[in-house]
Amino acid sequence: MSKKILIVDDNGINRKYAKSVLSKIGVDIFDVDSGRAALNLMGKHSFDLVLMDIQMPEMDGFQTLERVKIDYPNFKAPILAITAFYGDDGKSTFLDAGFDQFIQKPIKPDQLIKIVEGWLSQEQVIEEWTISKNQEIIDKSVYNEIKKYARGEDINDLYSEFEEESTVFFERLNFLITSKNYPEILSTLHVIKGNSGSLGINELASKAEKLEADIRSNVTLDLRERIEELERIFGRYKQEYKQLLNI
Amino acid sequence: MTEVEYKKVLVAEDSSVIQNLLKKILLFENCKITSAKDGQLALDKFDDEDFDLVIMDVNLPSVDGLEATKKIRSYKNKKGQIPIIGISGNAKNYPTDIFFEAGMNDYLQKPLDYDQLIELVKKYTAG
Repeated sequence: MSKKILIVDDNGINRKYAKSVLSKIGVDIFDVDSGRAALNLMGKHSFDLVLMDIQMPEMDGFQTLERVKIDYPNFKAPILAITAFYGDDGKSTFLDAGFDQFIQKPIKPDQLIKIVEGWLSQEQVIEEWTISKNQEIIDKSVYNEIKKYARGEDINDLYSEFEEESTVFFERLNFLITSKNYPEILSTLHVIKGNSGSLGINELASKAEKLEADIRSNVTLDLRERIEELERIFGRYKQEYKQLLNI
Repeated sequence: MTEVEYKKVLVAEDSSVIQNLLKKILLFENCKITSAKDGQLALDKFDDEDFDLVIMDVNLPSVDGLEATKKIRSYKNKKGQIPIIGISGNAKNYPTDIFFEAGMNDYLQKPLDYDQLIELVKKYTAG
């Protein structure tokens, strides 16, 4: 599969230039003219590399990068800053902000290709939730995060409550697939996804998310089997969570 | 001893798991939480009391979070200017503009990032 590159630049000529140069190395190129549009597109595709202009109206490159960090905390693709100007602080300003590299404009075609190929050749794991089979059903780092903020509060009852609430949701899902009530199936999956994700039950969250997305794009094949798969993961949760959390 | 001043936060969220999660976490930010399970109930409670902040799920039964936000923003008095933080499990499927267009000041995505939650709550309840 070819790699996906996102070009963010308000200047159409710059975008055209980058596109024509990079088309030579067989990558899929997406281009947008604002930070906002870039953020929207990042939600729809997994990118392997982002080239971002700094001076843009409304949201500049720094603001866009900040927003990427907030909206897509798992965004792993390198984001490179491209600009003709930089202040007295020099390149470090960009690296401090979190850009992976600073590229000064104007840039010659062969240089741009060299930089892009350099980044793309590095192995990147781009996945929302990285899941391995041996992983515990509850991501302890999420649990600890909740615990940190809830301090002395008993947070384990959230997990018992999740069990109760989800049991009802799965009963409902089984009923809904019989009647092929897709809007209700979607909204139920949606709540399961949000709840499990927020509690760190990552495998369930990511599988529910995938299923939700597929139904939205009218892929409803094997729906029953896929919901059964979610139920199996939930079953594992029910078996293991108390021991895991020492309840 | 100085009296602790509580910030009154209205949380509109249909999932009780997320409701309680927010309650437990925001308790330590000196927030007093009022919960509403759908958009209409949230609007009713909003009318009955004065709040400092609204946290609003986007996908709510009866009146959705975007509609409820627009309703609040239609108030021409001070109540209509309350900070509203949206929560969405689907932010990625929506253009981000719609949250701001509806009148939300900011938004959080599910799964919740707790650092970001605290940061936003602090930001909008400061002063």
